[in-house]
Amino acid sequence: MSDADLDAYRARARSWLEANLEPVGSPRPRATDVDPGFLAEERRRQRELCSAGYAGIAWPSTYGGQGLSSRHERVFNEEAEGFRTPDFGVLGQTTFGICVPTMLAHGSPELLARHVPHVVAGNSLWVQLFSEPDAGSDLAGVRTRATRSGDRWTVSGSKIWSSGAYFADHGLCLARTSWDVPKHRGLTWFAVPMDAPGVTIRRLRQITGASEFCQVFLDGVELTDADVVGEVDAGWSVARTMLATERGGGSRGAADAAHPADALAPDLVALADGVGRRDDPQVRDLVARAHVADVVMAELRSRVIALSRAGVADPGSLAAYVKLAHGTVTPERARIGLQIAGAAALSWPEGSAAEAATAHAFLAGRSQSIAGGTNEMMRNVIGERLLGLPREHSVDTDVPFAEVIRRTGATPAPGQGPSGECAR
Amino acid sequence: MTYALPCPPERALLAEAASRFARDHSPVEALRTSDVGAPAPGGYHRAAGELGWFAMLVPAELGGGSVSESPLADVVAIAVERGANLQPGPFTAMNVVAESLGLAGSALQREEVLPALVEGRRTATWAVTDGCGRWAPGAAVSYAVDGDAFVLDGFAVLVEEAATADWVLVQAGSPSGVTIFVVPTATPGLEVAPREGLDVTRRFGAVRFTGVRVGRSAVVGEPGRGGELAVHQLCVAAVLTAADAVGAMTRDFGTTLEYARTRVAFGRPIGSFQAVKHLLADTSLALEACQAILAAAADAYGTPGFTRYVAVAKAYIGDAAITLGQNCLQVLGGIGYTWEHEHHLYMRRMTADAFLFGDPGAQRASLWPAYGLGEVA
Ligand SMILES: Cc1cc2nc3c(=O)[nH]c(=O)nc-3n(C[C@H](O)[C@H](O)[C@H](O)COP(=O)(O)OP(=O)(O)OC[C@H]3O[C@@H](n4cnc5c(N)ncnc54)[C@H](O)[C@@H]3O)c2cc1C
Repeated sequence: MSDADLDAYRARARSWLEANLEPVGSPRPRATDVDPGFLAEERRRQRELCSAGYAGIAWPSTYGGQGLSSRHERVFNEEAEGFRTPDFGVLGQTTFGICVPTMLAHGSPELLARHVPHVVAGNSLWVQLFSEPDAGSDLAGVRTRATRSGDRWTVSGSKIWSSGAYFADHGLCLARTSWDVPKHRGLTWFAVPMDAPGVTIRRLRQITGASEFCQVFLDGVELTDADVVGEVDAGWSVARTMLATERGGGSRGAADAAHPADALAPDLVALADGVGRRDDPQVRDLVARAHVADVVMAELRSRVIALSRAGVADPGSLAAYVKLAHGTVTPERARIGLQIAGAAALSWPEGSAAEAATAHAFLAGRSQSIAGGTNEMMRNVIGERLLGLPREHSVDTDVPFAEVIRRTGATPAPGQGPSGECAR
Repeated sequence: MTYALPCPPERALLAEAASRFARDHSPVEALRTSDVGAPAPGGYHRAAGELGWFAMLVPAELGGGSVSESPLADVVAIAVERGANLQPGPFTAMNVVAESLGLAGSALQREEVLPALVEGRRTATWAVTDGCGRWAPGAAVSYAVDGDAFVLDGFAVLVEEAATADWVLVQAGSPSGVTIFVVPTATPGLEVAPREGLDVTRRFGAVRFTGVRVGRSAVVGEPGRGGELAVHQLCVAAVLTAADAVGAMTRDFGTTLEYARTRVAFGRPIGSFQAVKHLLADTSLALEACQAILAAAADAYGTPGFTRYVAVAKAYIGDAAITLGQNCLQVLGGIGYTWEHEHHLYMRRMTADAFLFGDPGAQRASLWPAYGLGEVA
């Protein structure tokens, strides 16, 4: 595909966008409280994209996508930046940026044919169901149990911190299918309908006051072989794809389309103006520090993508650089906002969302250093997989998982004791 | 240790040749026995000139020529190898002077000075910062017009190889503007004093100008109109200095990483302790980020965003360099605290690089006006 093709594509996309979508001034923050009415409207917007051929741009046409390149997708996202596109809240990223790309890499044609077209058409949103109360960083230690009988599976356990579960249609769920092998070798992924009998969702209130993430209880949820994503017991390789996709930032960065080098940290300059501190040398230095971090991060991301393409190291490990950069810069930047705003970040007129934003960003800043793999996990990946430093001594990687549970004396999930009988 | 991105093969060859040249002509080991930084060995600049070290920013029709379409990236590739091998000589200044003469030099300068620099037969240095470390046109030296002559007065520090250079570049200020001069160091009234300093891998002197009289032939471009070129010169110098730092950082980090893999304490390699591993991971991230922003700044050469990219790159790399030096020392432990181990040479070099041509704070302050947001009221 030539640059001329891309330019023509860009021109077509632009005129379609101008003719059909509502322009928006500055990038709007994604929705954090998603109700059915809101969702119906957003699904309509997605359908509109879909029928115009601007949904699933880089996904195979067999599954309802457009079968174009990721460069086309990027071009469209750049052009779409000033327009009101579908906002699926936190599930926008998990569905389009993480779950579907992971499934496309590992799912069977039947599974993909059954699910992906619905995603493209806006009828199916996906939540990541992997963290559990007893397994976060140590993801391979999940205890949700899937047992097989014939071609049917029964899944029981509990997932937690599942962002957006309360309005998701499906969950991509990691479960243990073998207990008598070491932890990485007994895992399997399932596509779980969130309205299946046995699925209970409880919303959890977060540090910011919003209730985006949830606890999801799976109590004897019935599935079939057709719901398995990838190979049975080989779920760890799927997990690695998913984590790499998530850490690499996914592909759908409409908000990233503007390059930070284009302007000096506009949000922080506006904040400084709002509190009348534009000429304060300390404030100017803080804003410039944030700008330097923003530009460097964008360049780092491009470099890591190029390094991955060049094959210098495993892309999933290289993505740890980007994730760790986000996980350190985001909280630092949020703190800079706090320093600039001072008292204005501590109290504001009732109901003033704009003025609450600095405090909110400060509280939310740490999500980047925890979700999708903590900073410490990223440092381990960089140290061990990229720099070749010796791995930490591990007490559980070579031992059957049932034995690990027995040894640590941890409480198993309700009704699923790691007794000899269950371990079979 | 850092990753290498694919680059034009000619540039890879250029870097490889620079690295081999450095090891053959001025190996790091030679510095260990010296307290003040060795001068470049005889014939060094001539041989470097043959490798094209001073030609990349000069158009081909003036005897120069780069190896790729991104000339500054070519010089950066050399500068990185120079930093990694702690090379002597006023490489940055020579490239800046050569570029400026190519852009704005008189016919005479292009005939007498430019080829001598490009070929490495003669050397040039730069007197730009005043005693307080301000890197700005006119900060160190001012001039007055006296008939056909210009009279220079002032004092500059951190003048690399002041005692051996044949010419010195001056960005002199006056009420009517900035004028750029290339002054023969033998001119009466120009006095050079050697100095001691933090960086013992290079020799920096001070230059005092006392009523130094020069003619129009020493002026580069139009008198009083040198402001824009002066800023450009500072930008190019900042990128090459940042590249020198990145080279030094890469080598120092590589040495330290190897040490962390092999040094044993409590029955296992120290690199297996998370406190050490995580410090090295953070350092590696910073180094990758430095590579990324250095390349972006070099690629911005010749575009409107150049000044901004340079400020971002120099600010980030400067801070990262100082931190990296300290982190490596921490991981090396006692051996890193010795004169015998080469770490201190690298730490000194990259710390000096952090300040040369604008420290991180000054670079950040420059970003506001660079984005049209004005000076502090
Ligand atoms: C905003 C947000 C959204 C999220 N969304 C989802 C979602 O949609 N779906 C989902 O499945 N999960 C989600 N998560 C969960 C997230 O992936 C986990 O919180 C994360 O992986 C960390 O696990 P944990 O909370 O159990 O902490 P732990 O693993 O218990 O870690 C606690 C602390 O111990 C440290 N630690 C643990 N092990 C080591 C080690 N070996 N070496 C050094 N330090 C260590 C960690 O770095 C951390 O600092 C979300 C989390 C957040 C904050």
